[in-house]
Amino acid sequence: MVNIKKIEEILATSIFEVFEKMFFVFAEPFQGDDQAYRLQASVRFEGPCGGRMRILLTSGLAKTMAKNMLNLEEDEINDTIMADCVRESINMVCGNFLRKLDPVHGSRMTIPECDVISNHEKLSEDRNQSNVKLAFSTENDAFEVQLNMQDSPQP
Amino acid sequence: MSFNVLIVDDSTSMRAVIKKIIAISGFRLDKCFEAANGREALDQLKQSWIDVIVSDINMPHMNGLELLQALRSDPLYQNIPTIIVSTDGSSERMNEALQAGAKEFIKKPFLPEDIRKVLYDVIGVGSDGEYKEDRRDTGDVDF
Repeated sequence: MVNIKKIEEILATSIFEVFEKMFFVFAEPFQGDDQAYRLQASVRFEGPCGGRMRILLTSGLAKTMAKNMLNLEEDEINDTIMADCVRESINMVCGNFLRKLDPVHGSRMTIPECDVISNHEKLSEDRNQSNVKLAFSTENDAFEVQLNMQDSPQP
Repeated sequence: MSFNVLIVDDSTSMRAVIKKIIAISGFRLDKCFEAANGREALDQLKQSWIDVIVSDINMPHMNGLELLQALRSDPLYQNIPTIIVSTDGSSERMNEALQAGAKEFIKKPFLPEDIRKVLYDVIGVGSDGEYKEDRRDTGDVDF
């Protein structure tokens, strides 16, 4: 497997690419206190390597993403639209990351799922199990992407 | 002559973005139909004349590769040009899609120009809006 440092670089590049191209959101690496993340979306993958990728983000950022991607006014955005944009964001980040990691062999990804974060204790526990955890700040908000990877495909 | 497009993606946001790009691209669009997966796309094809399909791969119920196979096995639909728009842009997956009959492959995330360029190319309309030679397949169809 590629080393963790390299994986972090590839993942960060994928995140920047997706957020800038599709959501017009410009992010910067962030190392501070935990943010009040309100939504999460995750996707599992298998192929040359298996694992799970998850994004945690504030509801303000989810709204900005939906607004920018769909060119909507704030009052036109609802929870369903935000959830769909968040699901699509982790779908694109994960797919982009996997093809950068292995441009030849395809991976199979599950359909992404999005839900509201209700249990912050469980969230912290999950975060400690991640191989890679990258946090970013945007103009007014923040998000974090977590990656759990295994060498061999998941069953 | 204007064209009917079918956009197949399980994300309503992605369908809306692609629809908007097509609408503002100068493409001679008549109607834009939507489907959330391959099965819905096949149902839509039974109801409406479709000139070009823009489809994702990773969808529930029937994915984009299965849709391509279904299209190619049906003489009524096998000549409809299909563009795949997917996050999985590995050469293995691209070859799989192209061998299954896709005309073009666009990787997500994309720029509006990527969609516009490929659509013009597949439909056979130049960026000036003038028709080039008809590039759609014109193979005989047995009914």
